[in-house]
Parts: sequence; C-alpha cells; structure tokens
Amino acid sequence: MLIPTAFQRLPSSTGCNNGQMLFGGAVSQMSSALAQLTHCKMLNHAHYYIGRTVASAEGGRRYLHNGELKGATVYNFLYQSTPLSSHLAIAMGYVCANFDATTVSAQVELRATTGNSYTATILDVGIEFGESNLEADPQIGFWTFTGCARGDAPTNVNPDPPRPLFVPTSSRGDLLNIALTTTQLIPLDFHIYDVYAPEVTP
Amino acid sequence: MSNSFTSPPLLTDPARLTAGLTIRSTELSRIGDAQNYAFAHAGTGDVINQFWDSEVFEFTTTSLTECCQWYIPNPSEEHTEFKFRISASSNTSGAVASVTLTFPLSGNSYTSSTTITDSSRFAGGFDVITVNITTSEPELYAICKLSLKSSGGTIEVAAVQANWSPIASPLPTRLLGQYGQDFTPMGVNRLGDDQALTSRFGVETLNNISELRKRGRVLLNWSGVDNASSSPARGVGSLDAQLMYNYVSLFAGMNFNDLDVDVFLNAVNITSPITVDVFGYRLTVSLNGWNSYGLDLRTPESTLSDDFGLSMYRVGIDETINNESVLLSKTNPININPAYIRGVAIVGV
Repeated sequence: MLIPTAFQRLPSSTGCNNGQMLFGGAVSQMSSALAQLTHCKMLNHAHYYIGRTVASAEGGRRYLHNGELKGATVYNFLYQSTPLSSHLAIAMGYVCANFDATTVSAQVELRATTGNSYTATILDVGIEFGESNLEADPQIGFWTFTGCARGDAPTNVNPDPPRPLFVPTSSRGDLLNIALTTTQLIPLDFHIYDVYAPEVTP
Repeated sequence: MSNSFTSPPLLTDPARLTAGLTIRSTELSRIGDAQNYAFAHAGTGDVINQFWDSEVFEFTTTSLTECCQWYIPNPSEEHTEFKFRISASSNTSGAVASVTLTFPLSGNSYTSSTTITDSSRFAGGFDVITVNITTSEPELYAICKLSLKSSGGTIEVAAVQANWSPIASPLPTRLLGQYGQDFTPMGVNRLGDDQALTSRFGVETLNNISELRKRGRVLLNWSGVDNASSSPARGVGSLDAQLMYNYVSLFAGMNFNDLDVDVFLNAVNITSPITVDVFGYRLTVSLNGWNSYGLDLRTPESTLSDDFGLSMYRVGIDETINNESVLLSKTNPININPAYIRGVAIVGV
C-alpha cells in the first residue's frame, strides 16, 4: 500500500454516529491517516550543528573554520532510532581542500550504544565519502549526501560508496551511534534521517 | 481489556475497507493497535542535538552554573521520562552535569544530574541524565537547561542529545492527557471478532488522529553557550545566516488542520525591538528571554524532495542582509552588549 505524506482531511465524526450508514471510505480514510502518522510524520531525524571556536569579543560565528584542517578525527553522533528506522540517510556540510597533496575522506559507520559506549558492536561497516564525492575549496562550505536508496542488508567489510546506513531489525528503536571519521576534512553540520518508504506491504 | 500495541506498528490496507468488501475485525483491530502505538511513540524522536569540536566548549567554574538552554516540544502528559545524553569529559573526577526541565506556564521544574565519567574526549562512553516528570503537565513545550559544575579541573563538552522515552505497551486503561485534551486508547479485545462495531470507535478514532497530528517535531534546535572558560559561540553570528539551517520534511495539509510551525528565539539585551529573518519571515524580537511565533509554511520547496520522496524545505536562519547586520559580528560584537539571539528552536508537526 502507498503511504500518504500529507495530512489529509478526515471524514466528519458525525458520519460515525449512531443511526448513520458507515461508508467504507470513512474507515479507509482513518487507515490512511494513521499510516501517514506512523510511517511518515513519526520518522525521526536529527541535525547536529558543529560548533567551532569564535572570537571571544564577538561571541558569534564569523569564520567558516579556523584553518585547522585536521588528520584523522572521530566524531560520535547519537541518534534515537524508531521501530521503523530501517535505513538512515546521512547528509553533511563540510570544508576541505588540498586534494593534490593529501587524501581527503569521511567515513561513516553505525554502532550500537550498549553500556553507553562509543565503541559497541558495529551494526553497519558503513560508507566513505571520498574525493570523488567531495568538493575542495577552503573558503566555501559544501554539502554531501548519501541519497535515500533503500538497499538490502549490506555485507561489506570495507566502507561502501555513499548509501544510507542499514539498521538491523534487532536494533531498530535503540539509541544508535553514527561514528564519523574524517581525514583532512572539517564537518560543519551533520544530519541523520530515517528514510521514508513510499510503499509498504501491510 | 488491554490497550496494547504492536511495535513496529501494523498497517491497515485502505483498499480492504472500500465498498463491496466484507468488514473484517482484522482491519479495525489494526486501526486500534496503530492508534495506541502512535500515542506511545509520536514525538519521542530527537529533540536536542548539538555538537562542539575539540576544545571549543570548556568549563572550569566550581559551582553549578547554567550554560545552555533549549525549547523543546512535550509529547503528552503521559510521557514522563526525558533522557538527556551528554558526551563530555573532565580531567578531574567528580565533575557534574545537571539538566532542568521547566514548563513555562505551570512554572514547575524537574532536575536530575550525573557525574561525568570520561577523562578525555570520547574516551569510553557518554553519560545519561534521566529527568522524571512527576506532575501532569498539559503544556506543548518545556525549556531544557544544562548546567555544569567543575571539580577543579576542566570539563569539555563534545555533544548533547535528548529525547522523550516512548511509553511501553500496554497504555494505561483510562483517558490519556495531551495538551489538556483527551486521547482514548483502544482496547484491542473490543475490536476483535464477535464484538459490536460501535459509533464510539469511529468518533474517538477521528479525535485521536487529530490530537496526534499536533505532536511536535523538532526541525532545528540550537543554544549558545554561556559561562564557558573557552570561546564557543554565545549567540547566533553573522556567518550562521549561511550555516544554521536544516533540510526537513513538512507535510501538506497543515493549514487544513490548524497546524503551523512554531519558531522560538531566546533573546538577550533587548532594549528596543530587533528584527531577525527566520523561516522566510522577518520576526520582531521585543522581549528578553524566549519569544514565540506561529508561522505558516511559505518557503519554496527544495529540490531535495525528489531524493527523499517527501516535501523538503530549508528551515533555519535566513541568509539576508538584515541578518548580516543584526547578528553578532565584528561590527556588532558581544563585548559592546548588543541585543543578540542566544537560542533558536523551530518546531513543526
């Protein structure tokens, strides 16, 4: 069945009163409205803005970065998945440069958070944004994105090209850790989305 | 009679409910089940997410001092457990992080705290602060405040994340409160075979759906940092007009259901009103503290809609000349005590 995305008009409640003929269409609209709630509105998303040091006299951000393009750096982003979080799309704002002299990349893996640990079980070895997925200019913030293709459970042992992360059935609804490892790249913001499934078998 | 539900929720095929088909208890039972699930889970996604890079947010004060403040939606009166996770470290043991939830209308506050366990950034694990709400709070929103207390060393905060805990199955066997209105949980046994299909079921299902559509979804939430020993952003800066936005889905039909997008701006040093451009509107900020605005969607749809399969919009601080001049910058620095925006929350439905 198709999952509606809009808040459709609901039938009048008086159509359900005693003495009224209850039409199938009214109950069908209830069913569609609930599918929109559970499978569309209630999909989760999280948006991490990555704060950087600012001039203390100014108090707000005026520079994209402070010139500190770094070696390998790990960022851990916690995400509360839902029972319907099967695939997680990732988007990231970033700054990077210097493709000629060094290797630039951003790897993303999905981990459990058992015992509140950053290094609990790997649920998806994940993906890598390589130089072919990135743009280089130290003065400009760019944006990269995995897309929303809903693939089967991955079996890769090394990072794949960008695709949504896969959440195993047993981990859906758990708190998850999306670990980002950057090399010579500064993330500006990091976004995690449950991927919407437009068609679901009831 | 149990108000239980299945997780993940069961779908009801609308095509099984059209004219000419037999009315089966399967479909009606699933409609009841999905309502119970939706009440328990809607609005329990992430409400606070924020990250600071290495050495950006450091804190050394040895008394409990407020640092950050966020405006968050409250799912219902029945959701009474709030989980706040903090990725922080302290180079001396005994440092404390404390979270207070305050409901603006009732004035009630609930506080809980934890000791920071890591001694260096991302060394082992994050810490969890669980805040329990012990009084029925029929409000749409709450204010979440983070306070820190050093034990003589330096605390470094890397990230925070928070969400309300979903309610476990079954739901309580009574009317459930949400924003002062009633949600009627569905007894699944009453929707099984050989039970009457009552008028009450239809009327209450429609009412329940209308109530659940009101649950807030955080589209953007950001707080400046006060009282740090380092130099994180204390307010929204001029460059944030280019950076502080998210692409999020918003759903058609909000206007038919009296639903809108709520914007909250936490302002400091307001002596005369300032204007800030947010979500396609020029908003007048005239109060110190939280200012609120209920706005209809009028920004253009993003081309990302094709990828997500949903209507996606850019939601956040707008890139305008007005914002360049009114936000913190070299020509409008915080050390001359200008009016500035300390926090932003944008909540859709």
